[in-house]
Amino acid sequence: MSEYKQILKIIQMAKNKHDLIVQLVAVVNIGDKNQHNEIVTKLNAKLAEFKQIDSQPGSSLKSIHSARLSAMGQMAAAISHELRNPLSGIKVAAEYLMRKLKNHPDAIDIILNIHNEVIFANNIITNILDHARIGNPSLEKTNIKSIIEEAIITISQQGSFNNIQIKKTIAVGLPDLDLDGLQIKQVFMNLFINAAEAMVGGGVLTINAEKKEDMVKVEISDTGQGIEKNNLEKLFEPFFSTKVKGVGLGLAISKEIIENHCGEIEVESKVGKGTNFTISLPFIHDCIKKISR
Amino acid sequence: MDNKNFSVLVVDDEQVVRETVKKILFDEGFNVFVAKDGNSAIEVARNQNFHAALLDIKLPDINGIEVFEKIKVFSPNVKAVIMTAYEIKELVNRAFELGAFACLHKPFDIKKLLKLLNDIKQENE
Repeated sequence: MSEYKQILKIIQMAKNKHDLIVQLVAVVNIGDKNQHNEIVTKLNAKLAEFKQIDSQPGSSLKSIHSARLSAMGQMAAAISHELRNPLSGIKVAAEYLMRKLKNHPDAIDIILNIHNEVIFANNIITNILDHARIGNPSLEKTNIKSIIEEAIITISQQGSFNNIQIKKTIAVGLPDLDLDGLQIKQVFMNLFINAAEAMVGGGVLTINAEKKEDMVKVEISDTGQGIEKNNLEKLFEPFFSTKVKGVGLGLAISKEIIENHCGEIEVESKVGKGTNFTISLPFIHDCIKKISR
Repeated sequence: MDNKNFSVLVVDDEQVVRETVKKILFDEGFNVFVAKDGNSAIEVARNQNFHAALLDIKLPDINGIEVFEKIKVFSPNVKAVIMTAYEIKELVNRAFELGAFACLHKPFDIKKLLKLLNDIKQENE
């Protein structure tokens, strides 16, 4: 049989990638038998390595996630500049018209819409930029209690917290953790804002922080509408949002920050009952040392 | 000081921003001048003393920080308000080292701008 026909047959009969590559190497004519055997052995070892990586749960999803985020980071600076300049023009012009048309409430309503849309568009840019800025955490011994409290103070001024009762229980004597305070504060703010937005008519936001084994666990629960099961799986994906005007980056950003701190973020939800996020941050972490290097 | 005696230079290559800010400041009674790039701003500043300069960082020829440095030669007491669409930390830091008064993030509120100009006015009084 000619090499050509042999190769076509191998392609047709191969049961998997591994089989296909090994069989193809076998038909390539390498004069030295030792060299041929060496290639087959090394190829087998390499394939076994790939197989192991592929079988790690979520590994391919993780790499897709990182690739998407990294591409976004590269675009962010250019987009933000190019878009924010014309947005400034629209915003300033809308504000000028509002001054000039004070006595025309109908016109003011429309101009306010323009103004608000500009703010919304700018928030999208800010979200993308916030993400692009996520670098390695800049670690310092940080009191998690003060980070949670700062985040509460920052967000509680927002209108969406008007009818929200905040119940906070932080265990006494939590150890200081090696954290990037600004990044972790951003995570808490994202989760608190999501919680408030899920409780449109009001509700209770419960924050519990406690020590569990060698971790600090922070639970953030709301009494909102909850998240449907099929949406829960996609919740941390970039640009996935269940909000009418959501950008879908807040939770993707939060997940990346927590993982950069060697921690974990988990979510449980019941439709009609509410949602519960748990963040676990380890006391000591080898992975941060690797990231920080 | 009356607004009419308070001179403001607005430098931005984004025409809508430049012209609209000019109209608003004019309505507020300020003595307003505009320039669409760095070199024309320096030319304007050669013949006019400015109390405040509203400078976009990214201009088509030279950046807003260089414009600030050069117009200080003609208006040593000019206060600069730097506008930026994307925070380039090094440039913003450099502006503050040179004595910039404030930094406005685009898209900004006119109210914020007017407040800054009032603050500058009060410092001058």
